[in-house]
Amino acid sequence: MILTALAVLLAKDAEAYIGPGAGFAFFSSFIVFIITFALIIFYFISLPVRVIFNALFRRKAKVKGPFRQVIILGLDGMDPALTAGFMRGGKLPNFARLKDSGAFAPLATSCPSISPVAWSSFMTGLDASYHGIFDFLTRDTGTYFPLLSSAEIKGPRRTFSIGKYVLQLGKPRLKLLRKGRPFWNILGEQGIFSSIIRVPITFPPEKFNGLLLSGMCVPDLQGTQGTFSFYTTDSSYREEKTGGVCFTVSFNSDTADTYLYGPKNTLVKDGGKLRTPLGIRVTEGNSSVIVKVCGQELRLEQEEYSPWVRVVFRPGLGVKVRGICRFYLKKVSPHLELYATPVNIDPERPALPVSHPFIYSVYLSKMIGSYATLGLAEDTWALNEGIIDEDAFLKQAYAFYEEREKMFFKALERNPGGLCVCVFDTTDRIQHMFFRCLDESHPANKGKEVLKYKNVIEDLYVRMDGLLGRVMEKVDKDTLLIVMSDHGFKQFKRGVNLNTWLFQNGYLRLKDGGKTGGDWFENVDWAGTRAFSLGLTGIYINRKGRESKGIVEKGAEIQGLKKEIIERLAGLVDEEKKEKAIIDAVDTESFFSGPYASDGPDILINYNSGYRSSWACATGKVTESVFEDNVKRWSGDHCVDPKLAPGIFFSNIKINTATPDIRDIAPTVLKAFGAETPENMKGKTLI
Amino acid sequence: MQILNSILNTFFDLVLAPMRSFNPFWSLFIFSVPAGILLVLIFRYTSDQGAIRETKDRIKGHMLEIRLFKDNPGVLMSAFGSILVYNFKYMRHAVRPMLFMVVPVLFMLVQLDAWYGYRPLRTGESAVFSVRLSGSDGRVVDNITLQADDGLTVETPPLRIPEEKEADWRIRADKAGNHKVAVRVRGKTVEKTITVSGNPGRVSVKRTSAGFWERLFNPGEKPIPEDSGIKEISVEYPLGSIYVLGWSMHWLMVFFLLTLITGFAFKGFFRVEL
Repeated sequence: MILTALAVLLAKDAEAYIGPGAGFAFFSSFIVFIITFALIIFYFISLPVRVIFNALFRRKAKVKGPFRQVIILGLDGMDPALTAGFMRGGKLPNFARLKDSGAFAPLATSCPSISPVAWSSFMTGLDASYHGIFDFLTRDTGTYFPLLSSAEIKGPRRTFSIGKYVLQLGKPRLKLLRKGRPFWNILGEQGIFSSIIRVPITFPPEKFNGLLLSGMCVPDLQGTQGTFSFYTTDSSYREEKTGGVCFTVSFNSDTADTYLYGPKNTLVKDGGKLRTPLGIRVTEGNSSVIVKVCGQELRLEQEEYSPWVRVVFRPGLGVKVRGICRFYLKKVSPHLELYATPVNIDPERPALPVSHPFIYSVYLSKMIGSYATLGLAEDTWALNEGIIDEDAFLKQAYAFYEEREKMFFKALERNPGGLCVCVFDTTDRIQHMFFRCLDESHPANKGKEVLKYKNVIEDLYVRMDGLLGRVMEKVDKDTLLIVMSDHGFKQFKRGVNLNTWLFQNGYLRLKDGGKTGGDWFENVDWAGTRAFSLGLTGIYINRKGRESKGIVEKGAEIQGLKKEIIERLAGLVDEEKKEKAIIDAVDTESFFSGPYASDGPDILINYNSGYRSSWACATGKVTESVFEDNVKRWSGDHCVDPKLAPGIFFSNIKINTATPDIRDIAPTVLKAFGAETPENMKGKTLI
Repeated sequence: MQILNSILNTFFDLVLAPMRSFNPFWSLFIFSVPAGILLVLIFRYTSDQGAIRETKDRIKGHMLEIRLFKDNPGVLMSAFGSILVYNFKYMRHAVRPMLFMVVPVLFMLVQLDAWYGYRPLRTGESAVFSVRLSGSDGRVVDNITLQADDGLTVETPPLRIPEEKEADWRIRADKAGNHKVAVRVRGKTVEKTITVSGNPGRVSVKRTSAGFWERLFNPGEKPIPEDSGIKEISVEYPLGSIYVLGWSMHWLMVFFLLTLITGFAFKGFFRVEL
């Protein structure tokens, strides 16, 4: 740049200068250099001032414990029995090495044994009655409609209308509904810096001394937990699918014009969904397509994913809402079948904050490229609905895994002291979708490939062993390494519809003498309903004064009703299979002691292995029979009696118990850094 | 080369001549905007846009790293080092498009220099008119004669410098127009055009004999025939100047800034990573 400037300033002849082309490059470089230099100087000069300021006003003195660094590798859903089996078979040498030099034990999971609950217990050291998360979903006590249990997203408090436009004054209001303090917040106050990557139930991100990228429950751009799009010329596909939408397209010559849909247009009164044009052109030979979207052209071969594609939606007034998605060409003929992942929030220009600080997601995007931000990024519903096949799902899941591994190692590289936690969801999603392949008698195997995918789960565990090996290379004697999962896995062969059971036993009434009811309690007569089930974990009593149409009075009536239902459900047998479906049921208020015990289901159900709340029950349907085969590819689960589905615990040091609990991790990490454990934390330190 | 020069002369005359009456800054502005767009497009199609984007992303990433890990001096220094490394990589990625741009930019600059580097003589203004001979015999300068047309007056007798094989006159512009001065040596006559005008316009400072670079940098007139015995004929036109907000600036600086600003302004529209 200096040379260019001199050339320009001193030029007497035009030929002394090679033109503005050089200027583009040198100007940018010069600006970068100046800004960087200024930042470095600023941060170096201000470092002593910040240290003094933090010591005096913000943080407590930095604590010192037996460890300089703690690494927690979270492998969601990794099962102790499978892990032990694969270790015995010599498939997991790194896990075996860790076990031999440190500790390995089943890790007691939360009650209920479900990821949002378990990870909330992990980070707070508390049970569900203290952190308030009992399930993915809770119900709106006014409408009985489902609500996300972990986060609340509302528009700005004030808006201003001009003509058809509604100007939003302020930011959207985001509220994390999980209670309790994560242990990294406590560490941050004591001078320990943390990198927290994709731990579930961290959306919206909280402020603390460290970096955090939110995980499970981050919505897609439409505000859902993942809505895929599927474009096909085959009109036999239903338009609405669970977890996505099918669009029937037609070709004009070799091109089909359609749309990619984004969020609702909140800038315009009664604005519909935002959309951006999507062109699909079949190339010669019918083996590939050219996808045109937002000024980009992508050539896709059959059975190939595109890289992340940036898409922009324009609600008006120059506003842009940005997202990213990937396309997958399933086939071109006889029918076009093109799948698009849910439109994720673009981490580089997030429409909602997905990290703390806000720039952390931008930083990661700049360093490793675009990555999935959606909480449940792996599109299990697309596979469940037959939109993509097993191979496409695996490709997608492992692509997201690769992104996560890059983030994790970047964090380890840049934060060699302090705490680093990274949760990999791949283990959970792949097991959910391929567990059937471990049991030939699984009803979901009917008409599906089994043999081909027999080793998918073993391969998954082997791959995690490789990851562990790479992590162990970063571990020194001052590092505490914990490898853990939030729960294990069991087969999900039969679904139990509690709503049907409640209906058949007179606790739930349908309107007009109906025998069945639709999604979200369609056709339920609330005036005659004493109990209902929503989500995966239990039963709510239709309490007077709590639910808007509640009829069960406080006190003796509720207690009596709960007792009666619990007694009748405990040991419930699936007569068709001659198996016990429900081991027992628990009165939440008497089982738990925390202040939020009444926020969860009033009765928690402990299912036997092989059983779970049925798909229909989870969405408030009343079906004809209580029991049904689970024929979906989502064939493994863990929403069973927590005693049946513990997670794994490995560490590189010996621990003081053979029965660690997921709530013990928080106090253990605090102790590892020499920080005091808050009195309200229920877990016990393992070291 | 002569054909190319003729085409370029015609093109630039067509483009710039209609703006002759404008302030030179505005005519240069009007030219620089499309030129900047053209250069941006050349940059787009001749550079590895993916690699540039990735390199710039890394630079930005490391800059954010400085903010995120501000309390960690080790990371700060490492980020600074990485930024320097990626800056050099970025400049390396810019070399190829720069090489592609050299040719059009060179022609552009030569032509613009003829328009903005100098200005035509004004009526009543004088300039030095020089003739330099080829060959080894310096005494030939004694035999050079000069014949100017009606609009010009040869004010002085020639100043002959045999050791330089050069003779100089002072000539005065009397009338606006493109005037001819005929130089006669050893029975051969070569003409040189002198432009007299109150407005900016293309001037030919030098008419030279054949030679690639000479012809490249002096496109205004046909080359002097080899057998004429004259190496070059030049006129010392006054230097051109462009005023921006009252400041006199070299036209090249103005052109550089305008094309740069245009490039950055339009890079988003044309989806170019600069």
